[in-house]
Amino acid sequence: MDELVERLKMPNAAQRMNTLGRWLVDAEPLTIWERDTRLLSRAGRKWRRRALEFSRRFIRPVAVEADLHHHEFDRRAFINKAAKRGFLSLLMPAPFGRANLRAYLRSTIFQVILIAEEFCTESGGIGLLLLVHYLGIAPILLSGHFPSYIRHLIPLQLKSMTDNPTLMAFAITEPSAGSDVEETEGGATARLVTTAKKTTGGYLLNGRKVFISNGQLADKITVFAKLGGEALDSWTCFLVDKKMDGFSVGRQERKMGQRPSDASEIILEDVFVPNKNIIGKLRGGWALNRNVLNYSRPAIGAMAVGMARGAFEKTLHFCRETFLGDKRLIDYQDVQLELADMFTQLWAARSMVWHSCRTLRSNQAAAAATKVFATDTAYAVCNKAMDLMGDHSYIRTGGVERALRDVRLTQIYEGTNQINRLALIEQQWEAEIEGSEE
Amino acid sequence: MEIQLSQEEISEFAGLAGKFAQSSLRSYLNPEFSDGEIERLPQILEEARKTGLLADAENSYGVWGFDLNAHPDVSLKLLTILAEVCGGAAMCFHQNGLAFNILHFLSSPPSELSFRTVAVALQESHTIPHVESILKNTSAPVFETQVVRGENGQWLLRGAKRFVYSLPGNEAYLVFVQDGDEPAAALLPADSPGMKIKPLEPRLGLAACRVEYLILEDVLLEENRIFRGKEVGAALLRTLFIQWLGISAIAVGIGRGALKAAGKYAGERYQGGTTIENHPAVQRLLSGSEENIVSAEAQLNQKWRLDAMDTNSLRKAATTKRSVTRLCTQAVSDALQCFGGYGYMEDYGMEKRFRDVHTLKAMVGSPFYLQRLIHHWGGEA
Ligand SMILES: Cc1cc2nc3c(=O)[nH]c(=O)nc-3n(C[C@H](O)[C@H](O)[C@H](O)COP(=O)(O)OP(=O)(O)OC[C@H]3O[C@@H](n4cnc5c(N)ncnc54)[C@H](O)[C@@H]3O)c2cc1C
Repeated sequence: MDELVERLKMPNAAQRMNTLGRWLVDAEPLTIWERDTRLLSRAGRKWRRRALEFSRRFIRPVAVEADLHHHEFDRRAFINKAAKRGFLSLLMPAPFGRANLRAYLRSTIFQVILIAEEFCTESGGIGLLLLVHYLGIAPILLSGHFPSYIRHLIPLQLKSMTDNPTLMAFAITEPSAGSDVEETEGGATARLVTTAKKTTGGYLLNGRKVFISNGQLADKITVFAKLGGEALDSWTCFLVDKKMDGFSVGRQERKMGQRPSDASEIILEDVFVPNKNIIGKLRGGWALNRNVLNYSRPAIGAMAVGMARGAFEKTLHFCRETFLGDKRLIDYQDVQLELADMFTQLWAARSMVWHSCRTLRSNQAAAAATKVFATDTAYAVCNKAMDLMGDHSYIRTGGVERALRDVRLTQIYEGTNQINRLALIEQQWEAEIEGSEE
Repeated sequence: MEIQLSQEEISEFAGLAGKFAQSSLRSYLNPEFSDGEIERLPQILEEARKTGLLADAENSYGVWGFDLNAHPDVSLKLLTILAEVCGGAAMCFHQNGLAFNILHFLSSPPSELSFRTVAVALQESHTIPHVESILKNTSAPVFETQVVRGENGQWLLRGAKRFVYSLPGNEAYLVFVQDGDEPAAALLPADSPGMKIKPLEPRLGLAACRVEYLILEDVLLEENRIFRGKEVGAALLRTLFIQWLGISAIAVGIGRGALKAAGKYAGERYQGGTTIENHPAVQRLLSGSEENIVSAEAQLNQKWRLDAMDTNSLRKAATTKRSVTRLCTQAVSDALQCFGGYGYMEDYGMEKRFRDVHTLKAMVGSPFYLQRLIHHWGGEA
């Protein structure tokens, strides 16, 4: 019987086919990771492999401590280490960055999302710590404003390739305006407190921003402010240097997960920002902000997939090592069914992330849908991991509960998943929801 | 003789738990600490003991107090009320009450009344013990931890226990073990020579209640602290039954607490030109959360009986634990989502509820393992 089963297994059975038939069978024992990697361009393969290696070699050993005692974790040194290896400069091709030009022209953010998933398999918080830099730079890149490129983007990019980058953060959220600065109709009624007042040679910024990732650590922040008493349509992006007078960091939030990166309050008291630090056009900030989110949301999807993959890999290990009765957990069919579901969900989410990023320009509907699907799916996968591991899952040094805590944030920031669903409807409204049917 | 309570007495009891939760437990949840001021917990539990809510050898009422044996629903109600404010603290009431209830069941009147806090040590691996042999009346061993004869004829305990839930400063352990072909139980003082206690820290949630590993290296047993005979098997089943129902009740309480907090927040937070309770997106979250909690409550509010423990009632309790904790984790997650980013921060207490309820789902039989059990026991029913 056992022998027959062996003969019936595909690699053996295929030996009875003729040569071409045999060649058409793909029964190579490859991991899904390897299979997916082989689908990528050369540059994509390179960055995916490098990020995996970095993540295992450098993130894995510090992941637990960076979560438990994040105040003692030397974040700056860690960022410098990643920057030196090119992981902070993939938003532009050579000579201003390390992205491969051909791959970049097909998709601006593809190389970034590849490393995002890998980093987050070991630690969502360290992933965020490294990736927020891109979010901070994105407004300058997407502004399409050449003077800003020359004054700010190129120097920042060149520094990003060294072992001492100028670290960036991104600030839109205010105490009374979270979803309102991510959604059109809410935006019209937003209660904003951060304002920019014209003065000689520049603007005076006053107000507060909250929940700013890496707000405490960053050297420079792209801050969005309304002009004087105007509404959100006057929003303008300013590059604020932390050393500017009147800038201070307030409260640092105590959050459930992604703890290696701080979420801080930014206080602006008569901060003078010179005209040359206006990013893009005056009053062009709202559109710029929305477009930044279109580029960053798929990356959040990739991060979530990474976190869930980390939980999955740990669960797989647990099921291999743990016995129930005289059999390993992994040898039970019901465990295999659960694991297959997790494989499938992760694969589907990654496919969607990759699919949504296969264009040079990022699209609102694709970005929002990807963020919703990938983060909800990743959360479901982490839940399954907890369900399989039982009591072992809640031990904090194990990593699975950390993935659950970390992944939960991806359903909230960059617009809650509810707001992202509305963003999809908004974008598709004319084209296919209310538009005439053919 | 089992004591029957009137409806008024039950409501009075619930009122007492409500008052205690709102006054003492709420103050314990000092927002400066992610899981409450754990150091103040012993003092709060002492207050609860005086109030009569924490069952022990002296107080036969309170959560799982043996004078409430005819009313498991009362213990469940008390746990739900306490957990609305703090799941971890409710867990302490549950674990201590459970231990004394089982002690009383094994030896009535309890042979040992000098301990104020006792924890039940049941698990040895990643999941609950295989109680098949008890249900089927066979002699297959349930535990690896053994009672053995020492050189001088004394009784010794050898093995290890994992995932033991106990109160801070716990004084004794009721350890389930194997004694030849039969399961037995032994009451061990926490300072027993040969017993090493390893706290399992840090954990996802329920921080108020400790989790420990016990390493038992030839721990000397006193004859009058070993329980043998048919009752031990029944006590084991009763332990699982009470664990699953108590955990379910705590999950429902956490869910209720989360929903109330989210409803309140939704009425205060202004976004999109109105308070967020007016957005269908938020209404969907709130009503989804409520739907899950109401379903969980309906499952919990059954006619439970502690005196007739058979495969069917155990199976029902396992189903309830599995289903209720799943519904409640979803309910808490939806409620948390209503808070946006604030839900993720420690100050609003939602992230604590999220961590606590997820811990409940994972403990004492994971959803995956319970599903196997439920199916397996179904074949026997
Ligand atoms: C850890 C962390 C890091 C962050 N990092 C950054 C950062 O680096 N930079 C930055 O600028 N921001 C950052 N944020 C802010 C984040 O993007 C916001 O928290 C998020 O957009 C939600 O806003 P809110 O928290 O104010 O929730 P609210 O907007 O108050 O939302 C509360 C609830 O109401 C719902 N809701 C609100 N308005 C509507 C509407 N019009 N229609 C339907 N439903 C609605 C929401 O979906 C949600 O369920 C971060 C947040 C967190 C938690």
